[in-house]
Amino acid sequence: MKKNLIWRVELLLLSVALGASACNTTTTTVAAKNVTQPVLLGPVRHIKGDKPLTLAKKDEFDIKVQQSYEQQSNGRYATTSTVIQEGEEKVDAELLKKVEGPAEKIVVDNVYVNSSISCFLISCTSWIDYSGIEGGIYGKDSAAGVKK
Amino acid sequence: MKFIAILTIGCMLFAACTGARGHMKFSDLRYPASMSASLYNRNEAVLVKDKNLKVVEKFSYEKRFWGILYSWVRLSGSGDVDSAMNEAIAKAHGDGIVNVRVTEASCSFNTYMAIPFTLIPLTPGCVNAKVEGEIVKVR
Repeated sequence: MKKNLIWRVELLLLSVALGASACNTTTTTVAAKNVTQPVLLGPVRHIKGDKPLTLAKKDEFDIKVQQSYEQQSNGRYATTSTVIQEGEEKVDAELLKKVEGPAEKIVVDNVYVNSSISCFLISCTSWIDYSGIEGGIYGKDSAAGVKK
Repeated sequence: MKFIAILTIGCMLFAACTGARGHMKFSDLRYPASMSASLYNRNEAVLVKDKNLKVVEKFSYEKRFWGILYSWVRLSGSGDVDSAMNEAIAKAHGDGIVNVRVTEASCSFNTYMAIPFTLIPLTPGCVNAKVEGEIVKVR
């Protein structure tokens, strides 16, 4: 009888712990609302009728916005935690650094999202959430070393 | 030596990692789309929201990506995102979409699966993505 009760309490505590940890959702966002020129997505580059992009790729970018928590234990006593919290403004800042002027075009080829969690026994020691964009900066094909 | 081998195998069995990743290339979009508030017209001029472009409707679509093998193997595609955007723009009689933003959210399923199923390192996982934007029409 007593053993049965202990089991029930343990199960209840485990359920509460699971529920509490599951409710802790993390979000990351990629947006470019503060960039003053178009940040193109997809194959259609212009409104009302399309024509091919005649510019050459001058540079590439891979901008990742990350939120993560990682706990590392060094031996018995020392435990370190690494926390990364980045906001969506990172995309604006990185793109504005890459582009040299309105004559250049920003094209996003891929938007990616990732969420992962690492656990050992019943405790989760790290979680990593991120979203990002990959693409290129296109400009006039005059500079040496232009990537086609 | 035997003790270390048993300890290593034990650690591997009780450790778990789960999650997923998703990719969106928007390669089937039939309308121009931008992550900023502007788009190009046919003459390469920049048209800006509220000045040259009028917002006719908001767009929002939620997608869940699934994966296995510690999120390395992707099980979900993203073709439905493109279809949903095309459909919404056509329905709103828009010319394109601006301020496209993608919000990733961790999946509570990952936590629920990772803890009780730590014995299975191949636990499936998921990640949620919300794609939002503003459908615009040239003024």
